[in-house]
Parts: sequence; C-alpha cells; structure tokens
Amino acid sequence: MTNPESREIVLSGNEALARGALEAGIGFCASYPGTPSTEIATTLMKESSEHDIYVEWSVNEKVALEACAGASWLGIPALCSMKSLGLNVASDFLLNVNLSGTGSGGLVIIVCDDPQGHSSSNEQDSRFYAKEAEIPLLEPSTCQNAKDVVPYAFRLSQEHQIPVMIRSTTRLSHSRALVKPGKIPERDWKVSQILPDNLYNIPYPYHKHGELDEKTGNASADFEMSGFNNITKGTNADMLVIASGVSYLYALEAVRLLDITNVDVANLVTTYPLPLSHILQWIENKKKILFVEEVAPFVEEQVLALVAELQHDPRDFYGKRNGAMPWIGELNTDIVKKAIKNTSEGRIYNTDREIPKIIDTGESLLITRPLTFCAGCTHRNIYWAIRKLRNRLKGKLAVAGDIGCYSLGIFYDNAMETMQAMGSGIGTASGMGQLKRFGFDTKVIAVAGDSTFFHSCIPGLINARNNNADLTFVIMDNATSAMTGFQEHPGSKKQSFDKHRVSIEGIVESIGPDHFLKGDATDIPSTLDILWDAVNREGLKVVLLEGVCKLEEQQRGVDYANLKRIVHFSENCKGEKCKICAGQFSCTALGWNNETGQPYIIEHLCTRCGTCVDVCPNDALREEE
Amino acid sequence: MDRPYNILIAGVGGQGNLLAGSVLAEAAALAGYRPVVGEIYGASRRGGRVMTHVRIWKEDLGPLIPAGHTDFLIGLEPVETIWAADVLCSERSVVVMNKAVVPTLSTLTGLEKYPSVENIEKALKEICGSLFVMDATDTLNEFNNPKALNMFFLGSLVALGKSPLSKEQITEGIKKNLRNPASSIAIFERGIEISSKLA
Repeated sequence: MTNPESREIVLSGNEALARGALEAGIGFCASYPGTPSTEIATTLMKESSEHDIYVEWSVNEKVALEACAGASWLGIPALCSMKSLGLNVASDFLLNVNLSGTGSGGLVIIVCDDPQGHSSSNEQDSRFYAKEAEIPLLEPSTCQNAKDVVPYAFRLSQEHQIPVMIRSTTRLSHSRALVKPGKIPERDWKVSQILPDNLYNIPYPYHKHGELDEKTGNASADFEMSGFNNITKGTNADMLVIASGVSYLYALEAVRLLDITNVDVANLVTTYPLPLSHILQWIENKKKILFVEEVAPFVEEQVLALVAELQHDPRDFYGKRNGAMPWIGELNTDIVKKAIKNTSEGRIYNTDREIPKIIDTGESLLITRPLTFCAGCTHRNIYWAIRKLRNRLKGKLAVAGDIGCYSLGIFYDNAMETMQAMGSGIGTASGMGQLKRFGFDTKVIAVAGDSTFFHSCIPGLINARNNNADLTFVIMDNATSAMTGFQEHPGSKKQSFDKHRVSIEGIVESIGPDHFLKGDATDIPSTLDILWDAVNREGLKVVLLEGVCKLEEQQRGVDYANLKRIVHFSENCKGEKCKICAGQFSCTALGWNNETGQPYIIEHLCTRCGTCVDVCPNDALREEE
Repeated sequence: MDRPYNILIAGVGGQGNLLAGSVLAEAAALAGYRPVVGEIYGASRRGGRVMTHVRIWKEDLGPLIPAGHTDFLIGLEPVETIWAADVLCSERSVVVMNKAVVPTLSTLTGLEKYPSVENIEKALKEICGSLFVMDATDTLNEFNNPKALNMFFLGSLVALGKSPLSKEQITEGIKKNLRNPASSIAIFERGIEISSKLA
C-alpha cells in the first residue's frame, strides 16, 4: 500500500499509534494485552496480512520486548506495546538492552499509563523507566501527534541503535479525533543473516553506560530539531505553563476559559532527555512557571535540576512539589484551570474539586455500581465453593489472588484476599506455605487464571514445588484472556493456524505437584468436593478447574434458548429468611422482589447454566421439566 | 457556533454508548468540525459505568468536558444520568433521560435501594436547564432491536439539542459505523419523531 490518503479520518489514540507504526514501515510487533494499550496490537493484527507484518500476542511483556529486540537486531523495525504495569515485567530486559543496543532495525516501546487507575491496580508513572534506562521518551498530546511521533521514534532508534519509548495515557489512547494519515512506505529494510557484534554488556558494563550516555546526548540534540515541541504565545506573557501529553489541551482550554492573555503554553512532547535550549528559551523573561503533567513531577524535577545550575534564578516554579498541582489522580481542564488561576495570582493551594451541590431529596441518589462476574461466569462458582470451604474450615483459609476477571473475587465476600502483580498469588502463597514451622496452620490457596498462568505463574509454582510449600494452587481455566477482550494465549483450545497449543496440564504434570486434581467449574458440588479434598492433603496440590467465559460464548453467537429455563417455585422458597440465591450467591440474572420477598429470574440475562439450582437449599430454583 | 458544543452520553456497559460517540464524531467531521471523543470506562462489560464525552469545535480540544459545560446529556439510565449531571451539567445543559432502570448488584440483591426516578428527575431539574424523560422500550420492542437504545437518543439530540449536527450528517455517521444500519436508522428517526413531540 503506497497511496497516500489526504482526507482526515477519525481514529482513536491507539489506532493512531498503530497507523504511525505502519507509516514507520514496521515488520514486527509483539505485545501482551492490557487496558488501555490492547488496541494498538489488535489494530496491527487486522492489518498484518495486507502489509505483510508479523504480529503476535506474546506470553508476557518481557518476552514481547525480547522478541522485538530479536527482530530489531536482525534489521526489522519492531514495535512493542504494553500497559504501564507490563513495563515493570519487561524492565529487567529494558535495563540491559539499552546498553547492548538494538541493532539497525529499530525498536520502539509504546507504554500506556493509566492515571487514576481506571483499569489498573496502580497509577504508576512509567516515564521514570525511560530516565532510568536513559532512552529517549516522547509524549504525544493529540491523536494526530500520536501517529506522527511513531515514525520519528523509529528513525531515532535506528540512528542511535537504542530503544525509544513513547508514553500514552488512558485519556489519549481512549479518545478519538481527526488524524491525517500519511504514506505507508514500500519495505525499505532487509533481514540480516548475522547478529551485530557486542550484544552484551560485560565485561565492562560501565563502558557501555558511557556509550549510551553519548547516544542519548545526541538524541537530545535531535529533539531540539524535531519540531514536536511547540509554544502557544500569549501577549506580554510573564507566566509559562509547561504541559506534556494530553494535559497540553487542558492547559490551552483552561487559559481560554479564564480569558487571560499573559500566559504562554508550551507543549513539551520530548520529555526525556529535555530539549535544553527550548526550555531555556521558553522560561526567559517569565516570572512564574507552572508544570502540568500526569502523574509524577517528571518534567518538573528535570527543569528544576536544570535551573539549579543558573545562578540566582528569579523565577517562581509551581507544580506538584509545592502543591500547586495534584500528584494523585487524573488531570482535567478544571484542575488545570484552577492551578493556572492560582499561579497567576501567586497562590498555592490544593486544587481538589468542590463538593457537588446536589439537592437533598431525602435519599441517596448517587449509588455506586459495583463490578461483579457476568451471569453464568464459572469464576463465581469457584469462589462460591471457596466461601463454603472457608466456612467448613471455620475461617482458617488464606486465599492469595492474581490479576484477571477473577480479581473481582475481592468484591465477592473477600473470597480472594490479595491482589498485586501478575503471578503474585502463587508467589506469595509459596511463602505462606512455609510458615507451618512457625505455628501457622491456616490452609493456603492461590488462584490464577489461564492467561496469567502462562504470563507469570510458572516460576512461582516451580518455587513451591522445589521448596515443598504446603499450598493448593487453583487454576481457573476459561481458555481465553477474558478481561482484555478474549485474546488467544498458549493454552487456548482454539489456536490460529500458525500456532501450537501448550497445555497447562502438561506443564503442571512436568513440575510434579504432590497431588494434581482436575475438575469442572460449571458444577459447584463437585468443585467444592475437590477443593475440600485438596486442602486436606499435605504438600503441593494443583487443582485445574475447567470453566467457561459466558461473554466469550455470547461473542461467538452461542444461544441458550435450547437449554432448559430456570424456574422459581415460590411454595418451596423460604424468602427473606434464606435469600442465599440473590443475597449471597448474587448472580446478576437473579433479582430480588422486595414486595414478595422472593427472587425472580431475569430471563434476558440468564444463561441457563443451572448453578443456582445447586445453590438453593430448598429446591425452589429448578430446571424447567 | 461561538463556543464548543459538548455532548455527554452516560450509561452502563452494553448500551451502545461508545458506538454513539463514534457516530457523532463521524457526523461532526462531515459537518466540517474537529470533533474529539473521550471514552471513560473500566470493566464496563462486568457491570461498570461508561461515559462518552463528545466535543465539537473548530479546533482540537482535550477529550474531557469541563465542569458545567455540557450542552446535551444523553442519560441512558437514571442513576447514571444523575452521576453525569452532578459535575458536568449546569443551566446550559439540556438533558434527555431514559426511564428504564438498570439495577446495580446491590439493588438487585436488596442490599441497597435504587433511588426513586422521581427524585432523580427533581434533582436533575435543579441542576440542568431542561429535562426530557422518555422510555424507549416500546420503540425498541417494535423494531425487535433491544440494543439500539443509543440510536433512539441520537434522535433526541436532533429534536431537542440545537446541536450543530443535522439529521443527515448523523445518518451518515450511523452508516459509517454499522454494517446493517437500516433498523438503527429507523429507530433514530423514530427517536426524532417521539422527541419532537416533547419539544
């Protein structure tokens, strides 16, 4: 495809980043799904055959980055996209390949941060990885900008043979705006048959560090010339806002809404290393400078370090370090507006929003909408069994959790009790499984989903085996990466034509737990029996429970109309005295009628899985004859 | 237009919220503006809320509507409507609200009471310039298309919104975003017709 399109099209931030990769002429993309980054690789997958590029879901972000480096070393431009937390996983490799170099192909990492943590368990600022790795960093502020920085980042990476990082945020990745597509070039790279020299950092890593320093210094000079860093000038401005990422648009609008003119607004796209002469030019003759960025004071600290070298600097700097901007949560125009107003008046105080002024109607209108499992989800069945198990054990059951749909177990009567990184359930449990010697006699369970199992659980499980930890590892296998939109993983039953399935069962068997039990998560009584059996045995127990993702089924067009309807027999129902079905089991297809004091089936949501029939102790829920 | 026109769509997962945003973005681009759409959702398919900010202006704006700057709020669900209006609406806002309630897990199980729609209406009238309450259920049943709630309320935007987008431009936006747009367009048109009677 070479025909340049001239008309602007509506693209999401993620689609624009993918488009930029095509225009950069990439040949390779590896990624692991994670909100808000997933659609970058998904978009490239859709385009892969037309543009003859290779795109894969890797087993985790570290492997994805390594795979991309492999391609880049052999001359192929490679893109690696991931969410914020993914970069933690990939960082070990990043902090080595930055020194070793990326060869001639070009390696660009796109990391999508999630200020506020809309779909993440933290709101980390991944830009510090670029600083730590001393690699160039770009932060686009609009969808157009997102597309434009990608080919530039590849040129930079190819020229200096180091990884280049692009940082997006949820608000950019998940926004849509007009983008003018450019030309997708004819392939101008050729695969090399031999690896470049010196792809290692020993015996003198500090020599490599020196080389990296020089390359990054050169990138700083490139940034000065890049044309990405712009300033919108006010009139007789004595104040400057330095904004990066999507915050730039907030700052522009805030100034307009405040109707003030003595402010320049700078859009800093190349945030590491700083384009020094730009910064010095921008701050000249300014009295007050406000930093607007998400989440941490990344640019702010760098600029403050820079001006520390200037003698007797007369300017006042406002930002996160002195409370003029919030350090916590996502920004918006209102927060920035308030900060600009305060700064222009020389005031600093927190910019939290005011308490809303909803009228008192005598009842609470702003009720929350808690997240829960879908109707018919087998994760609910497993957690129901775990709740029963905990009752039988008189509460002496610790459940270490992991990342996925099943993380919602923390909202399900605390059926899952911990949640940190991918793979941390089995890891923390393997520690708890050693505590018998100190008098700990609570049973320990770790849970993980199938995609998470492949991503990060295998070392933890081997650790538990090797050190003889006493625990039960429950794998909730629904054969898809459900949380992020049903991507294939190595264990998915259905694999694309060019993939080879890797079975969880085979891996577990080779690790050799003391007991390996298998069960069917669609059936609660047998699941409970298996879990009871497992926790009462000694040693390392692995329970593989085969489940179903009802959303994925519905996505494929599976229809439940030919299954038997679930019906409610009110004469058997003990009503409010019992209320186990709606009040405790809480399937979203079971409603509670406060007037009759009885449950009802919400037909259009019910998947007719029949588990509530087992949950009802009074035979009031039945399959229709 | 002397200031940006801001449309806010509030609802829960599965109501076609994001799709409506894409339709409006296409329509606004056709009308020669520079639309920007902000999509706010977490685990929406698992019962969470979804909000779409659509901003129509002659230059690029940030994807979030500033407090009180909503011109037209499409509330696909009552509690979600009041949540959205609470911060983002003001006297300048026209609100259309779908009366049909999507219970939360805690109201479903009787742990919490779903607020009365009457009280929600009362509060909305305090916050917003004008309020129109509708129930699209009959129309959706008539067309046997329960998922097209979003299309019905795009019709309300045309009838009640004084928006810069014409019926034709939105129709084009629907065609660009849907493979089989016929029934959606019919529901959109019915939305215009029913909403016009309230004007």
